[in-house]
Amino acid sequence: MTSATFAATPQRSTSSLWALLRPAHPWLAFAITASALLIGVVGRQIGLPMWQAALPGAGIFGVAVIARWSMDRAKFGSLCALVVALVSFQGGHGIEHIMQWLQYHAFGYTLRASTGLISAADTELVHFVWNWGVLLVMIRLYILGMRNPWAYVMLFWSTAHTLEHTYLFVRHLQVLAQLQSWDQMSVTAQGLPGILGRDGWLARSPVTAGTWICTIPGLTTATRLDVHFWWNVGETLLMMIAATTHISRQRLHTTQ
Amino acid sequence: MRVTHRVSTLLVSLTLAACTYLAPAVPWTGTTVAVTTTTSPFSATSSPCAPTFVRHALTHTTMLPLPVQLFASNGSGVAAGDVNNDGLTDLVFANLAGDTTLAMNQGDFRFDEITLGLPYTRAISIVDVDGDGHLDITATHRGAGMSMLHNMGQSPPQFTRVPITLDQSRTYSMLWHDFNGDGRLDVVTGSYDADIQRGGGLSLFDHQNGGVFVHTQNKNGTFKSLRLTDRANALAIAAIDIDGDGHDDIVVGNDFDMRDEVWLARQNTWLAVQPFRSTPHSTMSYDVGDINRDGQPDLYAADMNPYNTDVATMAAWLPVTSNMPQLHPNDDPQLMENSLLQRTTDERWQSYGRELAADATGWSWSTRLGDLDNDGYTDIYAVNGMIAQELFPYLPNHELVEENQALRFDGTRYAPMPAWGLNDTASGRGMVLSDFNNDGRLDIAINNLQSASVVYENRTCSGDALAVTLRQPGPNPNAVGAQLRLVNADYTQWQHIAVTRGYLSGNAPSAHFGLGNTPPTTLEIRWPDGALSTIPNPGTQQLLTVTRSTP
Repeated sequence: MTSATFAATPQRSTSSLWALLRPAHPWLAFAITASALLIGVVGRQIGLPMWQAALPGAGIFGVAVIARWSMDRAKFGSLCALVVALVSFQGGHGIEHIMQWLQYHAFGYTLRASTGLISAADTELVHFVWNWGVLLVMIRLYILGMRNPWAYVMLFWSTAHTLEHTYLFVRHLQVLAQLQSWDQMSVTAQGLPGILGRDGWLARSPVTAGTWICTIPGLTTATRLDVHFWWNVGETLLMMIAATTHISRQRLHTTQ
Repeated sequence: MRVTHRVSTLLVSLTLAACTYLAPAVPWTGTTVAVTTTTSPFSATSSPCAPTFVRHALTHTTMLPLPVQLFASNGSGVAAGDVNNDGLTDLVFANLAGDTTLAMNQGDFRFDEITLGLPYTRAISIVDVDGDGHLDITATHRGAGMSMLHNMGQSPPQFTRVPITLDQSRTYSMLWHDFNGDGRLDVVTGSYDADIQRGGGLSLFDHQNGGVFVHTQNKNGTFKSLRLTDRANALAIAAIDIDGDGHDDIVVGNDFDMRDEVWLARQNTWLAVQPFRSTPHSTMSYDVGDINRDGQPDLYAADMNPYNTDVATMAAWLPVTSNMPQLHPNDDPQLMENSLLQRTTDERWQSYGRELAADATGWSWSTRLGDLDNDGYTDIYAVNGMIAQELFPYLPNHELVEENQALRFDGTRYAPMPAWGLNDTASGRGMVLSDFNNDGRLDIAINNLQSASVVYENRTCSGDALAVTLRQPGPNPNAVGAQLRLVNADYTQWQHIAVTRGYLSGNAPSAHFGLGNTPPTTLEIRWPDGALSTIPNPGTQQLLTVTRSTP
């Protein structure tokens, strides 16, 4: 894997992240997206739950995306394909958090009801696995050579975010075990406070109680929904900046 | 350029929003009236001081049949007052499950307990309703209205039950106060609709009687009722000057997601407003005091909020909290935490509960402000816990066991004080702070649910104190509703004469100032009718009785 792979094709420019992200065949992409959506709508109309209705469309979409990334990997190399996949996946995940944020702040949903587009996926396990997955891919990118100041910031941010989700997941399992010992099987123990935010460890620790730390706007006062909105917005933006910086450096490097 | 302008405008707006300061105390103005004073030094204690309180168990127990059902589990209050004028503060324990108990103070923390023939009581107040100089006992009842035991003024005290006819037949909480300064005590009552609905739904009859009422006492002792709202889950009612105009307003704390409500006193009417930037979600208890020693009242509102977040606690609370209703967040100021509300320069009230570490005291019931160690700073004591088959079927005895929370204030933050020995795990409901042995230290009485009531004797090695009682001619002889400012070289403390404080509980009609080692220079009194009196050098370590000579 070499940095020269970014400039290896004359047909498609790798001058920017967007050049890599945009569809190679817009009409084909449109047709695939539209058919995926149509299948989903029909599925809902015949009474399927959201996740079942979305499954065939997601399958079609997923096959198309994987095909595209496979081609990119062949043309530009693993690092390029990995960057594109990561930004795409994290972008999709970010949309879920944006939807939650909109549901809560703009549409007047309650906190409990603001679970994004695929509410079934808004669980501690999903968030825990997802963030560890993202962090591992970032570490892989680092090993493959994506090294710039933004990449370091991104790595730090993602590590902190993952630690928060690890704390949340461990607490979730502990509370769940306690509830199960009481035969409280119907309580899901989702949405517990983490390290940051209102009622989080930082805000409620005996060490910080009554100090300025427990009233830092946002950091120790925001709802969990807001905290994770900003975690993910930050992570996605840093990811895009780091990738863009890397790509532009590589182009510069290979054209000199 | 436009972007720069927008950014700078945004920054200025954010800065202005952040710069909300606490409102300064408004100077008192009014007619000055002459007073006479008498003093009585605090009694010397026989026991050496220690960094702790000493527990004395009583016989009275609010004991419900098992399993304990929801809303019966809300329990009953306790009230303090000297019913036989012997100089010792007595206690009355309400009893939801049986007869109300009068605990006559015999000194040295010995109480003779007698039943009053007043069954199934919720809220309790010891207050001189008819102004005959003898404290009466008023109570609310589950599923019924208010009743009163008239003190005949004999020794030993004899009471006769007399009717109090109000335009509300379903009262849960009550607050006695002289709102219009006419010298007669008025009463605010609130219903608890959730309990009424559980008992078969709100009938048309209940709809006509539920909500919050102000009952103004007429010259002949009857009451003229004004309905402020037709719905309430009023666990707490407080009288406090919200808008700084010198007149006490009404604040009603509602359970569940029903918002707390505020009515400002206006000429012959009441104006509903929403001055609080945040409130508790389920307001359980109110108390009014002066936390920051700026000479004006602050409002402490207690909620259900676990005081620690360990796994066992979170698991115990989660099945209950996950079923609580949630409102739309954009227009809902309710947060599930205690609020310590202070008036700001923009005429709104901001909570500093979290900044001062006073935001979590468990499943709180009666929560009181008072200087427990006489260091000049207002401490907090909260009783807590919950028993209900419907809520906690997974816990032993269906009980959420919590430790009562004693929080000491050092001027910067509140900190738990387990050394005081007040962290009882009994399920407390009503609670009152009062000095039962006249030694100048605030003691504590608690009406527990399913376990014996207790009195805690304060033996802390503390600073100086000053207790103040007021006397005035007319039908409100204890000057309920009067306000006091105790001034010294460094700060001003505020107190008021209130007979209803905390959750369903009554307070003795006196004020207690912890002083530390700083003697006061002046005591200012604002009588219920707005007249003023000033007493220079009111002294320390004594009970000061101020008597107003003219109406």
